[in-house]
Amino acid sequence: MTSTHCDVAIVGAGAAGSTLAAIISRTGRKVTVLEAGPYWQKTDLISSQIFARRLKWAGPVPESKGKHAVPHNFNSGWGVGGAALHHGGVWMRMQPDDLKTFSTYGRFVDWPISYADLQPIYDHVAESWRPPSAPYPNPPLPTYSQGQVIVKEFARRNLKFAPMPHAVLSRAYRGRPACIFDGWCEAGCPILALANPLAISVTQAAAAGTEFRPHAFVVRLTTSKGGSRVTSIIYRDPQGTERRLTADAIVLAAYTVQNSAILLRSASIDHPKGLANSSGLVGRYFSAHTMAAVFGLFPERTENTYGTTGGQFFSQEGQHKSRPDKPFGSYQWQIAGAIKPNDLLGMSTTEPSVRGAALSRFMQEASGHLGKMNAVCEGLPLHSNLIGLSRRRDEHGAQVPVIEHTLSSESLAMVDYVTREGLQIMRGAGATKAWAGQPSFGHLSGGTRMGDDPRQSVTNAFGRAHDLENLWIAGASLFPTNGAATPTFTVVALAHRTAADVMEGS
Amino acid sequence: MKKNTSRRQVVKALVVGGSSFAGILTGISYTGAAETPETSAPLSSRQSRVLQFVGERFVPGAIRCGHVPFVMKMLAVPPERCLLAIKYFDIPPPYVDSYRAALDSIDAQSVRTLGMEFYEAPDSAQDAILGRMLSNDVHDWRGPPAPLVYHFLRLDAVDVVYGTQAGFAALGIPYMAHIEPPSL
Repeated sequence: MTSTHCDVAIVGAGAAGSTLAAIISRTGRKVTVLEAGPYWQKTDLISSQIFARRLKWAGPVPESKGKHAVPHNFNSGWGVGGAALHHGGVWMRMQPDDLKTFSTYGRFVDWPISYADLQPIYDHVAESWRPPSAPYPNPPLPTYSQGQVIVKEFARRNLKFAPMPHAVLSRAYRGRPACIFDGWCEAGCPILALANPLAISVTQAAAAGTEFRPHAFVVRLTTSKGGSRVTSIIYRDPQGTERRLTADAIVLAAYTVQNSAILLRSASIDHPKGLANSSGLVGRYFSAHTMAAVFGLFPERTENTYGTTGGQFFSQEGQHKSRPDKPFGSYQWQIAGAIKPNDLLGMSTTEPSVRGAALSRFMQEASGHLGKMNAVCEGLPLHSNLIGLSRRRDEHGAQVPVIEHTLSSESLAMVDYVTREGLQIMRGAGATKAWAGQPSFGHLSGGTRMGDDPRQSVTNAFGRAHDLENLWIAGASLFPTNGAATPTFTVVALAHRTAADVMEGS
Repeated sequence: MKKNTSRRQVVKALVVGGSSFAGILTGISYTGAAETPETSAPLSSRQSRVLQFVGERFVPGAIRCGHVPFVMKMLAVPPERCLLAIKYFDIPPPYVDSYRAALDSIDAQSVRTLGMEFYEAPDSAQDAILGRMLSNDVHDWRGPPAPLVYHFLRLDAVDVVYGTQAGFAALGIPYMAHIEPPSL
């Protein structure tokens, strides 16, 4: 078997992996990133919901089970840039109580870090371009009729709302052009106004010497005699040939599901339950945000194809987890995202039972007058929700992941709560018709949660596996709980902490 | 009577098209298409006919917008290059197997309940079958669950009618492409 060596090997070229590569490569270390999918260029990012499907997972398909099965392929990425290549650029911070649900509310588990640990990194990543307290250099993103129509009802109800925090340029800045607010965010932003990895971390990593190996599907990791160190990554190249990459330090930064699957597939005599799994928790406490969408048809023209897909405004009035009038957990409203006619989140899908001439009429009306809000609801981490392995093997001979996901009664009650609230807001805002969509799931997290206690977690507070000297894990799979914030900003912030630890440890 | 004539004309057009699938395949226009090998037609004539009428029943204009050739083309390429919405539903490839099973099942619903093939059924009866797929009120169903099939077949038809630059224009929506998509 052909073998190559590097200082730091990273599995996955998404937000976490490419951030790690960019930081570590700058120190002169030889970094190699293995990526299951292709190496996209910005010229590949075609403005089309149909062609954007190329950016979604196209590897071996996991089995998704449970009463509330989580869609994997739609959420995951495929290729350099990962899921962040098709993310909407909504960069939210986790709130202090998101990280301390046990000590604050007596529920679930605390993160091994606090907001005070993350804040300086959030500030560094997002705001290094301005001195503390100085005004932002760029104006806020523009708003359009859809957002303005809906938030007037938030204002009437004294519900606070604010412009959506976006990693999107409102004007040309430092060599990158301004967004034109065309709503093509999830097709990938080829002008790089949106801070997807091709705009920032992949470019930085490549410039610093990182080697990206696309079409490299990781099957398993191997360990030294006695099992204290990871020695190599076994992967399949584009021709299907098995290859070995050895490294002093190894970082698993694949998608949430793949991180657990690779560890479980790496079971050996020294690690019979899978790698980094002495706690038995690899794959456990898998979670996802429940997405509860509400829609309305308004007399006004809503200009709903303009803006960004993440929304124009957000409201965190539902952040307080134990407010007595609602089920436990946080939620937030993402208000007035840009909508395209087709695709899973498109206009037509808001009314899936409509067909034929009625659909033609609906599309004409929706294209001018539809508005939407999306409630992002905290996913409660349950031991019974998990990522495991099927007996079925993929074309690489690897066992495919199984995802088991069933919502608790609290989470179901939360969906009911936010749906009622959302419909009231839409009607209050003047919708002549308001309805709710079928709840779905996004922002997959957990499975390799971090913590201080090796019996109750897979990694320490820096993402370093408790059981192995030279294995780190990165990405949302580290999240012990997931709050209601979109995860990308926190994934990147954690990657900064992990990168520092890798460099110190290697 | 007029309707039946129209239906036969549509079917005839489809069969003519079906005889030239190799031409359709070599005409694939998106990136990498030149490497796509020619294969035999992924769907039988009968399956293609069901697909055609399903698409038009979901979204008027689907036939005119090339629904069946688009699906045929995508079923013939490797899964990694497939642009069909079925990939969202965590259904393992080859996708053609799911389409074949689903279209056969739809046709079987029609034969079982109406005593005629799906394409022969009145519009309202075709629509009723689609409605029962959504509510999973089907019998002897093969392939992916009927509600999933409903969604991905509907998404295909919506794609070709409304997901293109022409579709946006028909709705009065500005397309504002950074990079314009190739034709489907």
